[in-house]
Amino acid sequence: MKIIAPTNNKGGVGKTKLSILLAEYMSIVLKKRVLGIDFDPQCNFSQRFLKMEVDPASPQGFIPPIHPDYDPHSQEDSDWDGRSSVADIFYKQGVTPYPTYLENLDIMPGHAEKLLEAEAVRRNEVVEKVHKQLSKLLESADVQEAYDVVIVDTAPSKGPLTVSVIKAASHIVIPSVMEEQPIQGIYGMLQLWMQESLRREQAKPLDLIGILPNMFRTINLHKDMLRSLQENQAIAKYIMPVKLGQRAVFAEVDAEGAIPKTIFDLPENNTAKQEALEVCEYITGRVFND
Amino acid sequence: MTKKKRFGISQSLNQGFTETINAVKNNAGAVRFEVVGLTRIELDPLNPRELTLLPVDIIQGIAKTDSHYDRKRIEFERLQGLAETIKKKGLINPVVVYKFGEKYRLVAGERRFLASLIANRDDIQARVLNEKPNNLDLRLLQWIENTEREDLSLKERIGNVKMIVQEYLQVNGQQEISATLLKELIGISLPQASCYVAVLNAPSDLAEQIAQEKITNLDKAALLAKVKSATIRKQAMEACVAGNSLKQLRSLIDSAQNGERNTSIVIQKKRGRVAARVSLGFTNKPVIIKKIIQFVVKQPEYNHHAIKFDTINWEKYEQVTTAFRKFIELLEGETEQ
Repeated sequence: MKIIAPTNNKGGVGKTKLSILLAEYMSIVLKKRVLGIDFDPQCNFSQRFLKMEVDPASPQGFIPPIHPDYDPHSQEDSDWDGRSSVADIFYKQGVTPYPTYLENLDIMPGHAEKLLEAEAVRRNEVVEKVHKQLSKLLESADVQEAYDVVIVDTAPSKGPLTVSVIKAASHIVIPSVMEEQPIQGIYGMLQLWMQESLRREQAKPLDLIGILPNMFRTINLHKDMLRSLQENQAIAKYIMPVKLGQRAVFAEVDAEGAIPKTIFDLPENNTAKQEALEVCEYITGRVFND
Repeated sequence: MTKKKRFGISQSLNQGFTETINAVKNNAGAVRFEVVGLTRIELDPLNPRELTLLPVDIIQGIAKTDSHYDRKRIEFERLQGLAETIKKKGLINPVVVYKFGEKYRLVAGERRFLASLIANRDDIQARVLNEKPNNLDLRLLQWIENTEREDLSLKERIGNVKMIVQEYLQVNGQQEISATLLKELIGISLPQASCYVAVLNAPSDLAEQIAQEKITNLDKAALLAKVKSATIRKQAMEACVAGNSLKQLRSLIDSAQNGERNTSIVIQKKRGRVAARVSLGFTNKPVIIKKIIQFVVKQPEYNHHAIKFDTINWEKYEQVTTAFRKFIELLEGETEQ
């Protein structure tokens, strides 16, 4: 089972967008059984596929909706409130994935407050309480048998949540805008990748698929920065040969009630769709064929 | 006309990228340190061991019926010091293990492992190799680990080097082991390597002495190994065992080889200055001192001293010690040299 995580501790570079594209591509086009996990307290990834709710009692942010399979009158659901989020792994509880409008895609949504609590756990407890929890979940027989690939969306942070994801992942992608500060964010992510790589045994490496130039504009700044990265001998092989341009339609499909709902339902000759297909094909090729 | 703006990532960021990527490229999968529960570590059954003590002996106690009981007890006592240090300061030098199924097998660090068990620790720091190292690497690793221990005898060191050489020849085919080759192989100086080569090729009588730990100095052993004549060598070995210095051995060998008949062995004198006084020793039975002092002061010529020893509490060690010293002083004062 492959576990792919887009990461970058700079916000707004397109992690969630990439998570969405990969989740949709793998389930719609490749027809693989996909599990999407939202590890970002902002819960944008969850909101894309589920109708997340706002709990007035916990103003921190979104909580998952009531699960469609929840039956408050049944015996087995009697001590469950009907909501399940991936953050429940930090409270030693099981997680029930939610179905989505896509047949092959399930989501384990985030829970703003619980994820933020996990982010704030004290240093000396964090390894046991947080770092190892996602690995444990994804190594369980249930998950391994039910899914071919897991996509984990992460927060713009290098805190315990992101570290959890890095410890659990088999592959990471670093989307970035080709500007000074996001590129500095790449460096931070590479550090995390390096530290985790050195801890892994040879049989289970953490593969860096590469850096994805995102929201790319054909201005000198972006072109020069990209070329500058490609000229660095060490990192050149990690700069992906595909990119996503700055296109309105990428954001438009996320809007409520948008038609079509996904990039992949656009006509074949649509540039945005072609770009998305190229990027997803490249990443999938690296993940499944390397 | 304004200059076209050119952008690029900063030099420090560039350097940062290069270093980070190279670190992974060069080291991934090779260097791992973990804290491993002691119950998950086992000795490698394929490694010849120096110690007879087993983990079960420490956990359950050495069985009285064990045929190695005495030796195990000695080894256990010898590990106490290390166990104390581990209790107080923890282990500084991680052991080296490789993963074997659910367990970890020891490559190097047997004493540290057993001492940690004695110190009642739950876990131990370990450097984890991805797989069992091939035999040559295994021997080299153990050599490097062991040369940091001072108490390794010549016999043990020669044994280790022999094993390294054997493995090397297995892999690289039969060839002459020169000092240069040995120097490169185990990382020692050329003079040292020459000594080892000489000792590795030692005649059997010398090898026997080394195996019995009668000869324990590498330089002396190398000198002796080069003596061709069996008689002279025998003489020199006896002198070595008797405590002769390297210099003395050289001169003995030289004069013997020069044909001068020199049948007497230089008896090594005891070290230190010629004795100029009597050492008075200890006793833990003060009543003996009481007897001596009271007997002497009963004698007419010393009776005037008796009163000085009337108020002594003969059960207090310190009082008796002071009293005895005074007693000797008094007698010295009244005795001509």
